[in-house]
Amino acid sequence: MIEIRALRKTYADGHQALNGIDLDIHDGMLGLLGPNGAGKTTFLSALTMILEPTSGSRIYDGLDASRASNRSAIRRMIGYLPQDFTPIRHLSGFDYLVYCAQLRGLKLSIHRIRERAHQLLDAVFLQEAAFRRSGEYSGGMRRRLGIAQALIHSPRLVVVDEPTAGLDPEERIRFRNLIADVAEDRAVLLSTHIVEDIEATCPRIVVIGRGEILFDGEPAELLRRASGKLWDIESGSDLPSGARIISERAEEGRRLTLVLSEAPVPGGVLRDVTLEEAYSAFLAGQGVSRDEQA
Amino acid sequence: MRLTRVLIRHEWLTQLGSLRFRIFSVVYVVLCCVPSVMIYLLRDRTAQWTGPGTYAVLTANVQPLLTALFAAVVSVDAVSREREEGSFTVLSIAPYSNSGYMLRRWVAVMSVILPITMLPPLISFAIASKSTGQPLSVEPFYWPWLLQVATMTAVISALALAFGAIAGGAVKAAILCFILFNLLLGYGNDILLNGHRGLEGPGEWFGTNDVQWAVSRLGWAVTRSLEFTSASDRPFDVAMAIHQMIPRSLLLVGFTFFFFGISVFFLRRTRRDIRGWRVAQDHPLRTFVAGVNRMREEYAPDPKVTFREWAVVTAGAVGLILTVRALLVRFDHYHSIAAARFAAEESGGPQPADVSIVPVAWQARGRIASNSAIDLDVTAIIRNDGKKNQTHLAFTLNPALGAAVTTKGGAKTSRSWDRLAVDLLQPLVPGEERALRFHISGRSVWHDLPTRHKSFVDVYEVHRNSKDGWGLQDFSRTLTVPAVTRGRVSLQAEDLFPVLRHTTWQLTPRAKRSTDPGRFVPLEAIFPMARIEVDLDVPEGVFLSDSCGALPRREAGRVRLRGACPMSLHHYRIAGGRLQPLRQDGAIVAMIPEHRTSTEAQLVSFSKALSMVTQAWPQIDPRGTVFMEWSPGPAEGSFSGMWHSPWDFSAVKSGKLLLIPESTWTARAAVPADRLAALLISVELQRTRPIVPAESLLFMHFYRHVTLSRLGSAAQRELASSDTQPGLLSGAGWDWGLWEKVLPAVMMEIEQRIGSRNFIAALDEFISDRSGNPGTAKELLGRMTARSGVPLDRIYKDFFIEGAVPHLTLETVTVRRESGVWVVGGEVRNKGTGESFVPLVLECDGETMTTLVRVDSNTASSFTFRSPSAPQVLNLDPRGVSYRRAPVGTVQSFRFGGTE
Repeated sequence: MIEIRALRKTYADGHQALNGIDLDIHDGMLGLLGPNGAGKTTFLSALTMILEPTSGSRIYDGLDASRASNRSAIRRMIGYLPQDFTPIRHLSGFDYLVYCAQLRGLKLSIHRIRERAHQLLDAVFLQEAAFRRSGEYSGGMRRRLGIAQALIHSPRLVVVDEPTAGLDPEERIRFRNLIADVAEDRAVLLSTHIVEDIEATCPRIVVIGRGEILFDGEPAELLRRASGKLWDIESGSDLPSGARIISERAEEGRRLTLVLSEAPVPGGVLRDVTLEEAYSAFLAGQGVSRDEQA
Repeated sequence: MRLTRVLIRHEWLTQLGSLRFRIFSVVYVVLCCVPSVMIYLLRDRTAQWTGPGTYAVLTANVQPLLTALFAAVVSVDAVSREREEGSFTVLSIAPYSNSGYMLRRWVAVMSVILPITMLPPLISFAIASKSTGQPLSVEPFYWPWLLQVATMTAVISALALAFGAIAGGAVKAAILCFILFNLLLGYGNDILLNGHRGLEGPGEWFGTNDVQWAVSRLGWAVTRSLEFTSASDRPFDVAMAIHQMIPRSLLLVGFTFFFFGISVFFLRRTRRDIRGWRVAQDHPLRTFVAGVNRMREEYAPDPKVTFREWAVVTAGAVGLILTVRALLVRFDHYHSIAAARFAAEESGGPQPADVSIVPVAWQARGRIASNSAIDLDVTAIIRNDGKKNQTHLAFTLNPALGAAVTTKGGAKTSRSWDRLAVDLLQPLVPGEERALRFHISGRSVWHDLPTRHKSFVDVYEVHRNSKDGWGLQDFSRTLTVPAVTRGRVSLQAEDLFPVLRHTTWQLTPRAKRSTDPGRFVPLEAIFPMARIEVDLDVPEGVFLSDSCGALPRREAGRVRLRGACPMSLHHYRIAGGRLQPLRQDGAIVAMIPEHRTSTEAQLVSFSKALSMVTQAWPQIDPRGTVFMEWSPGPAEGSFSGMWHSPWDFSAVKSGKLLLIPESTWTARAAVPADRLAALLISVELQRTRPIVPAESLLFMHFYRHVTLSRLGSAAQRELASSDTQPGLLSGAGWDWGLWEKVLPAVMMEIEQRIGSRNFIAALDEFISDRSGNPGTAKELLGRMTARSGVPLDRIYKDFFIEGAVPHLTLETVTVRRESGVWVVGGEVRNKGTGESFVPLVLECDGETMTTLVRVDSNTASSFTFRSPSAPQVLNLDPRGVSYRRAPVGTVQSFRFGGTE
């Protein structure tokens, strides 16, 4: 189990990116949601020890990251697919995976390492491109290679940052299924702002905003919180006090506004809530915009 | 090891996959090979035969600097490439330690660079093999690579990786490295200034000057604006090269240790928390302070490092301290040697031995080891030829050698630098011979102090008086040059035993015409003859000979050199090296094995020189002469200084030993046989008729010019170029102009006055005198006067004693007709000093008239010609037989227009 306590990070320019994060991470998928600039990437960087936090503790299976001597063992536990993942472009996908495995101290013979690389390339549908230079891969292929490298050394924790951004729908579905398969025997932290990905794969969601954890629970809980509070009304209609606009859309020639309101909205139609809407409603309830730079 | 193998494989895969790396490699190899290829193509246009050394040295000259650049670019690229392309984020989450990664990455980078750096020497070797068409030793190619290129690759790779890790990008790394190194060197030297010490940077190690010279030489080969000079083919002196490389490289090595250690803090760049300085919105320096804040954060070291990382950092710091310490120890060691030399030279003492004290016999027995260690027992027999009791003796002896002396009645000795003063407790009475027994031990080495070919005393004085660091010398750059090495043996007399010193040690400024008028210790100018006997155990594996023409022989499991001959102590030497001897017409020819082709071409000249000796002086037997190919000394540098000096075309004669520079030996033009013969004769004649010690230098040059004259190749007669010069009897050894210009001119003046027949007869008579009295110039001129009836007292006084220089010019020349006869009159004025008998030649229609005019110092003499034919031109000494000076404005010719 990974225990994060009171994690803070303040950059040199005074910007406070993390403001006391407390989180336990267990096996299985954990979805990390948050608006842009909420501190997700900073949190993941601190979690993967790419970034040093200002304060707070990080315990990985009982190993305290503040002790320098524990760090090698902790790093061995982590697989990371960053948002801007780039492989070594002169190497083929296969060579890159073998290199990552060896660099991470995988205690297997070179023959077994190669076998494993082939298995993973097969799993991420890159077998055919295994010996092409990774610099020639498309965006989707690179991401798939990224997840393969994150898994090559069988880590305890896999951290995946925005893995499906920019992928076409088919690729995205294939990719999130792949990640879900991985999570069967380890902890996977999936950070994204595509709620659909999380809805499909994660039994647990953490929402970060302004460097703090705003929500930690099941998606159903997020849905429950929004249930009976989301209304569709004609755009331009009067809103009751306390109501907040979540979004606007055009539907059958009309412009509709989705409104969050505890009280009934005159002329409004109570609707079924999607996780996406529940998430938006939650953020709105917290006074955080989805596109706000925190 | 496993991770090391992984990183090596990775480095190979990524570098070979990188177009940038492939381009860099090709450019690097091509640039390194350009000199060898060029000289191969131009080899038939050079004045010298280009041996393998030229190819090896040309490559070794350019490769270090290019390697430094190549290694820096590749290494910085290796560590920063993954960051720049964004792949390092993932790679950094691997369970390696920072120090382990840096060290292994360094090994991996070197594994890629080193094989590529091997290509230029290999290609150069192949080109040299093809060019010379003979099997070659790889040593001249291999050693510079191993010592210079491989170590530079190691150091620069480590430094570049360190700064790549710290700065995070190639350009930033280069800037940061340059700034920090100069700051450290500058501030470090400021601190060292307190101890009056200063260390130079590593520029010399990169060989920037060598590249410049190599390019210049190649330029000469192409344009032929100057003569391309080949490099030496003597064996590569590994020990000397290491000795030379250490002070040049050590500072950068220490710097590399330090920053490589520090770099482990920066590898992962986890950007620990830095509290930025708060800066108000309206602060005038807001942008600057914000920038500094960002830099502080960017360059903040990783906060959590293990004990192992700390150990590496500590090792780096200790490495820097130890290297600087080693340099300072070396500095202090050589500074103390320099101070001792300065004290001795500045003092001008002790008094030299009186010229009446002459060496009778010098016997040396003992051992010379291959590491230049000397252990000799020397018995020196001296005699007082004067009329007064003498107690003070002075000798020159290699300062690195110790000397213990015993003699009848005892003696008090004192030593300073290369001076050994022995004060006899019991005076040496006139005519008495006495034996002094010396035990000589130590390593026969010389210290090549960093004086940049200037006067040592002047350079050291500037160093000593320096207040702000300007003029400080980095004495750590001093080289200790052994007289005996694996490839070269150069033992001069004072490297073996004490040599009587008759010339003062008082510092003397060089002549005004010299480009460096600094104060120098005068060279010995008095060379009395003595019977020299040596019986020495000498090192195996090198060819040796001494001035007596002795060759080493194997006896009872030892190699012994036994020589005996009469000659001046000062000129005795033992020389040799990795040479291959041949026998030729009773002489020995010892050559560098690679020079078989050029040697075979020169054998004709050597034979011719031997027959010329017999032709010019039948009584001299030149058999037993040793012609030895002579290489530049190791003090001139093992990497860069193996070039021949383009001006070094002279041979050195020492008894039977004739040392001919490689540059002359390998010239496509034949070695001038007449000059060789003249050298051989000049020394042999001195052995035939002893000369008073004070005049031996004069006679050595005199005999040489006489021989050249007899062989019909007298020195080019030139008018004197200066009116200030010493008399011939007080000329210094280094005064080239005096011996090559003034002396031949004076000799010509004498010959012109007394006639060639009288000149030769008097000289033969002088040489064959068997009275036992040592000869003098005065005696020789007296014999010439007796033969010819022409008094030569003034010549002796003017040119031998006083150094007079006549300056002759025509004045008030008139032409008139008297009673159908043309009368040409006028004056010859001597604006200089000395008596001159100058020929005037008047050319008329159909006849030439000559008259000899005597003109003394600062006076004028009139002359008159009468001729029925119309005068055309009047010339003052058109054949240049009269010694004089002719500055601008001198009238030496008068052309008439056929009218009055």
